[in-house]
Amino acid sequence: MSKDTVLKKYASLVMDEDADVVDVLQSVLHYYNRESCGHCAPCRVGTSLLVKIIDRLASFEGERDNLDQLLKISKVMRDTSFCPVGQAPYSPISSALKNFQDQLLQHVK
Amino acid sequence: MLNNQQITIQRGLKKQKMEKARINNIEIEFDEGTTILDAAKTLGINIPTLCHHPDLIPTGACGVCVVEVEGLPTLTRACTTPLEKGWNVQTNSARVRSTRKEVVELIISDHDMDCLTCIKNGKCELQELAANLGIRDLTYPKFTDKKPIDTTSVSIVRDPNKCILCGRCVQVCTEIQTVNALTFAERSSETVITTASGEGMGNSPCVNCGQCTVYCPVGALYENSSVEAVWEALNNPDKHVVVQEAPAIRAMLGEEFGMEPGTLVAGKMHAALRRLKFDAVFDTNFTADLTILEEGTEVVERIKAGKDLPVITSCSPGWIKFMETFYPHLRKHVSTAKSPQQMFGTLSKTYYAEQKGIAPEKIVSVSIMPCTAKKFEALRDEMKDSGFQDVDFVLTTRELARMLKEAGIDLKAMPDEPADDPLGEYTGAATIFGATGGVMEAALRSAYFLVTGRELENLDILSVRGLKGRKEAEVDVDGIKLKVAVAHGLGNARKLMDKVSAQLANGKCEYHFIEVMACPGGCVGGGGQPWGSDMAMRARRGQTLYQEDKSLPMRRSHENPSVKAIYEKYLGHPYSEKSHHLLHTHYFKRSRIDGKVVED
Ligand code: SF4
Ligand code: SF4
Ligand code: SF4
Ligand code: SF4
Ligand code: FES
Repeated sequence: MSKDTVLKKYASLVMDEDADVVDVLQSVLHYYNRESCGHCAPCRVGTSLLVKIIDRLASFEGERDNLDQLLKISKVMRDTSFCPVGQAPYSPISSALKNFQDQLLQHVK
Repeated sequence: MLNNQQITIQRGLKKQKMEKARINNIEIEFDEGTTILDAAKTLGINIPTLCHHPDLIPTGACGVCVVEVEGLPTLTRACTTPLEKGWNVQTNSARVRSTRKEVVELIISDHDMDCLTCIKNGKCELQELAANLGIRDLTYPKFTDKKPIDTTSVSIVRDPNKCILCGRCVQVCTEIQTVNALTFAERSSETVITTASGEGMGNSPCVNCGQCTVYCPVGALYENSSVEAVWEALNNPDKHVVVQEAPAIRAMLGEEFGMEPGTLVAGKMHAALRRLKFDAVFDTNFTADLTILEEGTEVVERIKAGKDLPVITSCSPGWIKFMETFYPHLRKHVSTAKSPQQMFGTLSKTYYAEQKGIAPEKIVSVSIMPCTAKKFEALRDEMKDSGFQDVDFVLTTRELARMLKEAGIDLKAMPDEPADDPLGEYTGAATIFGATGGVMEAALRSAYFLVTGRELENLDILSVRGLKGRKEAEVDVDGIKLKVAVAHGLGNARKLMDKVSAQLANGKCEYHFIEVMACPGGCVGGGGQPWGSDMAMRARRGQTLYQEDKSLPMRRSHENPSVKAIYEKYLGHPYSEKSHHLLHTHYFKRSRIDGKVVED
């Protein structure tokens, strides 16, 4: 995993050099979903959808569309969430898509 | 709790600082502290919102109102952010348009979208927003399972599948009404609105005021409907179905038919109800006049005897349950007079049944109320003084409008018709019951007569009118100085009752007579009124009632000939033994946990 990949802002995560990016994203997105306080719609609904999509990818049942959805949802969340929790998932998702697109695509049906 | 109106007033006290900025490149001068949303409005730019409501403190829960401030990296919420000097705000840039559309797409992905069968169809803020923004695709999968609908309350139904978690209901219940029946629970994807015990609204301290239903933007909170039961009664040839309409209905039923808010439709309403085939169309205003005589006599006797002062009004059932739950020690101060709805119910199955020679078990007594708490009141165990359930079914203003629409009756085109005798005649004093301060004003007009034997000359007691949360006045009745107070909205009632309780604990309360209405604005702002009514609308409807009062030939309850007749023929005199049995009631102590009656 390249060193400049932002996976978690305001927190650090120690991982293996050859960790699968989908597993890592899955753990990160579940973390944000758990941390969402539920006050604002973009983060509450956004993190719920993000975990639903990443779980699908993790079990190799995703579709090509799901990758765009991850990016689109996390971008709206970044722009409209009330606090940094909901704004956070955009960085790991966009950098994973930029740096590990191949790995992600392997999870698509 | 401050609403925007008050905030502006408060700001008005300080020296104003005017600043300049631009919105969509148009220059604007604004008062420091004005939100982007309000500033844009003055330029004719309506920024789309969802969770925001003008009467409530903005919480920023939905994110729909985002705009772009040039130079700032992320988007900004227009409803919570004050405009700043020198800013240029874009409300319709490509980024803003696509982002807010996506926020709405996210919100509806967690929404049970069955608009065609939804109570809010055609009146829903989310539906209107989706239409305005041109949402055409459903992009995301639904991720929540269907949750059970809460039907534990006789007044209100809560459908969590429609809830968008805007929090307006919690704010209204907590900050304006101070009942604290509703709360957020859980977090993240599991976040829900519920009651503290989680046992449903019918097993909570909810006082059934219905303010949450008026403020809910979607179809997640609404009245427990009796429309079908009333249709059934109307279609049953063995039943004699009579109807009464509360004072406040005539000031807003028109809104449901596209008439200007505040249009007076008393006559058209009577005509429309006849066309629905009610066997007799009466008017709650008649028993409002009767209430004044019963309650007014009680006030005068208690003041003369110096017994249990202050006297507090009893016609608002939301207030009564609130008092029973939070101020049970004040029960002996509350007038024993039943509310006009319940007086009517009893008389429809006793006096009217006797006069007409109809068996009371054949009579179905229906009431049209601006109120969801009236549904609870009608079902109280003790409300059976006629020997039957005194009021069988309560319909809200919204439910009546639905019935008229279903029957194809166009209110606008109705002629003006009077209500039927003997329970239909009314005075201006009765009609103002629907606005905060109205009962007080009506009572003072008659109390003056009861004490002095002379008529009060100036009938307009302006100091108790208007939307100030708590109002006071001193009235000179032949040398006796009566100190009265009026509160509307339960938060205001709570403040007043705290003061009264403290004074009583020290020996003596400064007030003689107090009026309390559970809903802000009084019944014109009731929980059964057309959706989305804000304080400004409530004020307009109040004005309508004062106009009707002014226009009526009789403006004092004790002048009502039908009221005189019922005392002559049936009740004897106000506060008589018979009226005590039929028109007065008693109160209980209730649990703050589940709202049920508890032993003293
Ligand atoms: S962004 Fe912050 S405020 Fe909004 S739900 Fe997430 S944690 Fe709560
Ligand atoms: S709440 Fe509004 S959007 Fe939702 S189903 Fe009802 S009408 Fe449609
Ligand atoms: S009806 Fe009134 S008391 Fe009950 S939950 Fe709604 S706002 Fe609160
Ligand atoms: S029930 Fe209605 S008012 Fe309450 S949070 Fe849900 S949508 Fe908002
Ligand atoms: S309307 Fe501004 S955040 Fe909901």
